[in-house]
Amino acid sequence: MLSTPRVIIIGGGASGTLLACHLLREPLPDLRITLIEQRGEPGPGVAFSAPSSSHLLNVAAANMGAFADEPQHFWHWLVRTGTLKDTGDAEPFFFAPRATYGRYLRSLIEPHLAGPDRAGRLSIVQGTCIDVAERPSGVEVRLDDGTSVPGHVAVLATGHEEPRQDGCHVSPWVSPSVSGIDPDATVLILGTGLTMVDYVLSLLDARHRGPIVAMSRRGLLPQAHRRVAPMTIDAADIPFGTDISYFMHWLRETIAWAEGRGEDWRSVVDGLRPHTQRIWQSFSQGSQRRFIAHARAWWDVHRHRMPPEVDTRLRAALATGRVHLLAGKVIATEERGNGARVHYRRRGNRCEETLDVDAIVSCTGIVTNPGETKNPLLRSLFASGRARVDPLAIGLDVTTDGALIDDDGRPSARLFAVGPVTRAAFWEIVAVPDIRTQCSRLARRILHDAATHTAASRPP
Amino acid sequence: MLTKKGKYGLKALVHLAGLGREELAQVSDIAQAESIPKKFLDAILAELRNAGFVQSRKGKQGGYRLARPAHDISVGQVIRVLDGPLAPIPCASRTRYEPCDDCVSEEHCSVRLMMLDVRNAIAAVLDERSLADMRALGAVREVEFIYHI
Repeated sequence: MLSTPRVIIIGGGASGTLLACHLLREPLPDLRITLIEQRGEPGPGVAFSAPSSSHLLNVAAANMGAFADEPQHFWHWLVRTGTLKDTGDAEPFFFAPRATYGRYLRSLIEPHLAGPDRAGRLSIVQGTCIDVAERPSGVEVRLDDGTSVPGHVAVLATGHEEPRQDGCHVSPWVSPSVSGIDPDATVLILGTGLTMVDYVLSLLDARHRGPIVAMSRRGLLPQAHRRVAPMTIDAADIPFGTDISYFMHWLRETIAWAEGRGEDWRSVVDGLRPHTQRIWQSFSQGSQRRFIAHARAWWDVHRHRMPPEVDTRLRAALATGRVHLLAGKVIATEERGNGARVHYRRRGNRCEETLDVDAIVSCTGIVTNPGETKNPLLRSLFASGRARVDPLAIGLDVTTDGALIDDDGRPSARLFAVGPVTRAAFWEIVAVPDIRTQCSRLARRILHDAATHTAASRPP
Repeated sequence: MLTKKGKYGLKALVHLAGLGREELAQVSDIAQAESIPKKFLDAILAELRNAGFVQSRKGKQGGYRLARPAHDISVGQVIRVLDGPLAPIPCASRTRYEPCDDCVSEEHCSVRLMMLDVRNAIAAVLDERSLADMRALGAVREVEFIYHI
């Protein structure tokens, strides 16, 4: 039996860091947290390490606070640290650079770090986690260097799967120059969402001269943010549990009603935000599947919007032909020299066309089948039946508490998950406002369990 | 307030909740058992099918059944589909409400604001109970009734 409650967080990106922040807020001197991060630098993760200052947050600073009960925390940090002076902007409808947010997350955990000269409650371990063993009294997290970390509970915050990077396939999270993209190269970007937009900005910043083609099935672009307040919508207004076609019809009618009153559709979409997880959970599995197949692209471009200044740059690049937008579908890719010949079909067109490209960047979104993950920890959990892929194959099967569900359908008392890997249970769990709420709930649950466990195991 | 449509719809669904897994019920049988005008019931069931709560099969062996298990469908979900946003008076909802004829300001009307609180309480009750709970409720009352006579 360990003497102090110890939580192991696997993954030190935004999700893992937000969970650590929520746990550390509790005035429990005995609490110990170990954060395991491959890069050794917790905080920014994939989402917030973007080196380019053109990569902005897609949520206004006023709603990016790390804590569920303090949405303005980040905004206050910006003002307090004087970070805003650099940008010359000074109001909450402001989209900060992603890298600034990474620094913010880092600053939140820094005071808690344990070390030779510090008595902090948070230890950082650099390494790759390969397995977690579950025992009646706790867990043991094994790392690739042969060491292991004991704890009471382990939380998987493994985030987004790294996209393919071989041959001419390059990662959207690595800058074009680091990926070795020639300024005259023809670049094909698959997907036309927010990741594509950031990559186009990276190319433009790097003074790319070659053709840039962005392709997705529908060729829909994200909408731009506008300064409008979300409408107050009560749970009593929302047709939970209905079929997806019924629900989308309701949404369109409600937007038409709001627009008839002179309001913006964004108010309605943002007004639904507090309810999206409950709406998702009320859908039948068939409805969830149909949402992903038919309505998701439409929902995403209205829900996940870009800052106005980014929108302006993208529209200009499209208007001048710097970027070509293509609605179509890739049928096959054959490697050719250092590049590839891509066979594709335009939307609504039967004949096949080809495009010779030097680089392919996959920005098709973060929904990949977790069964095909390269993450060694997930692979070992799946192989041993201690975790399973959800029925829609978009994430881990977890309870609404975040507990991992094993092959026999039993929720674990010691293994949890937060962030994008839990999207099957929550759907909208990629943005900070959603993840912080989830982290706040899980932190309460873990501390409650630890308290009852410690009380129970204490000698009378 | 619960309209006739809402009431009939709930009665029909609770009726369907009592069927076996693969069993279908004909509209005329439900109408008779629950004393609902058949034409009205036809329209109500069509709406419930649109919303994904019931499935139908055509033909001689045809009829209706629940599209999802009775414990998965909450009473609140059904009423929202049949009667619109849960609201004790027509103006007491956030979306698609109708202002009263005598309305001066819907933002500051104390009656409306009071009723908005009431609706949240109504929703909390209705969303916690499923069709299966509703059916059990009726069954318990039946047993008590038999016991008392």
